[in-house]
Amino acid sequence: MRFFADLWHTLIRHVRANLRTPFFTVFGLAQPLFWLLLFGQLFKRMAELPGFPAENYLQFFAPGVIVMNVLFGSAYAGMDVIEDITSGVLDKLLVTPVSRLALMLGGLLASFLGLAVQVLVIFGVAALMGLRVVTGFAGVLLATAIVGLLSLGLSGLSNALALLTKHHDPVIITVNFLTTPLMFVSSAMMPLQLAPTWLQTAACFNPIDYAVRAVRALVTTGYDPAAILPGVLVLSAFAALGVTLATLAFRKVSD
Amino acid sequence: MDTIIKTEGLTKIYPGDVRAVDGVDFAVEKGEVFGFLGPNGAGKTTTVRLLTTLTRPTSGRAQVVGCDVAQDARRLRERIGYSAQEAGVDVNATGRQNMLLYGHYHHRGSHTLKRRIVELLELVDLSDGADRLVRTYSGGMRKRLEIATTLIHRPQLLFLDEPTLGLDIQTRVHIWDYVRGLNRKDGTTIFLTTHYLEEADRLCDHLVIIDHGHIVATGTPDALKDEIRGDVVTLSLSLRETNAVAADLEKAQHILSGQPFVEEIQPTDGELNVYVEHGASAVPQILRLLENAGLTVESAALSRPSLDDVFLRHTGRTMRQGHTMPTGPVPLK
Repeated sequence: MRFFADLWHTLIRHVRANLRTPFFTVFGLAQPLFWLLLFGQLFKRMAELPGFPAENYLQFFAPGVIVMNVLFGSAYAGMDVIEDITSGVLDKLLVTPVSRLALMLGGLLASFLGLAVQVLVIFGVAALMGLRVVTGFAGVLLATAIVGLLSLGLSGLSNALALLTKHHDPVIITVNFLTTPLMFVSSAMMPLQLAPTWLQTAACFNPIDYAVRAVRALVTTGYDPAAILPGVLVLSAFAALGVTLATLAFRKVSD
Repeated sequence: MDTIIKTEGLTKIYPGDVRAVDGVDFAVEKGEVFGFLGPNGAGKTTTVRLLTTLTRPTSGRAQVVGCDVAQDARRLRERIGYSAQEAGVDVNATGRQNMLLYGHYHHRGSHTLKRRIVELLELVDLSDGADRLVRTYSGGMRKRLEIATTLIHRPQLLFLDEPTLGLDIQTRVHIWDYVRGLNRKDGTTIFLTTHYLEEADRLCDHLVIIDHGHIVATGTPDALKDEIRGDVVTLSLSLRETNAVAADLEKAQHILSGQPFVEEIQPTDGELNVYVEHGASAVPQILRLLENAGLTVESAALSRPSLDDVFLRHTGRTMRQGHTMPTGPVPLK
């Protein structure tokens, strides 16, 4: 029971800190909304290509924007950990009997909660622009849960990196280096049928692509197990990997 | 008396064979203020990290509040408080929220917590700023809040790592008062590290002097100073030629070391510490001897031995250089 109390108080701490710096949440939202408008216009006519898998580009692209937003939002989660390390707060928390797992999971969950709000806002704005989610609000919630798994995995990895390096720079450099290729080696912006075969193969190893496919299925085609099931399985494994590595890194810090 | 900390051969080696703490043995009795005095990089913080379970020993053992640091970390953490060198408080929360977080992490009920927080904020004179964001606090306020957060669960033993580092004189004196009050009134055992001689001298019942990961001296501040009998005459010579200081000091040392009234001589950066039994009568003799040898004494200061002299005697170096206490307000980074 103490574990859940610890988790709850950690979550509250991080959510409160996020609310105190609304700048990041607002700007975090500005970027995906920009993409939605800008790329939505830029690639609009792509939907006229033969074999394009959606009725218009917005239907196709909105799921991509949602996943990309989670990618960029979670990948920097480790920065909060660095702040706690450099300010000495982490050491002080580690000298209390608080559960280490709760201390770490609380941060990951808070980062997911912030992103979930953003995901709902993006869905809302896209709906105003004409997006139609065939599975309705239930589908929106399922999509949020699926990107939640992606967020847990990514922010877990980011936290692990932060805990092992203890500096801003490696986190920023690694995240900058990895996020763009991860985004392009997926069907986030373009259908992969149009891409070379090696890229299609590479996408099979990219958790981002699994998230995009699952969310896109919920938006454009319905509860399609062929897209959603692999997504849920792969992303659950990915989330488990991220949380495990973060936990191990957390143990290593006090060594 | 009961022993609250006991270490045997406690050692921490970091990668690259850096022996931060190298086979340290000491014991702290319940109810005392125990100090670890040493220059920066001596191994003070590493010792605190070992005793507070923040890092594991490479070898050796340490028993703290009845728990082994390696085997029984969780129970140990319930009984101690730890104040870090950096004022480790959450700047995105208010003072009260910071206090609550530590209270919850120590699994105290909300009802008792509320009262305890009011009491502690009063103790550190933060009642007025309790509901302001810590971001708006001054360095001294942050440090006071930090100390209050470490007391929320009434720890038996409180670790203070350089508690007054970078603080202005007024805040420093306040913190000394809280520490003494805690020790006297609540009987909290205090383990503190410092490189301020005055702090060690004023606060500590027992001291360990540490250098390069080794304990070089142990005792009460008075006993340590009594090891050096008599007075200290600190001499500085005026320059005849450039770069001749070292040669002149050596010459002066040679002349004085032959004198029966001189007990010991320790050269330091550009100065000479001469230990004598009766300072007042020794100064004129020293001056005469040096003048006769053609050396000009620029200044001669007479003092009682300080902990710095104790450090100098054991290490051949002085702690004072570059580590003087700031006299004006210094902002916390």
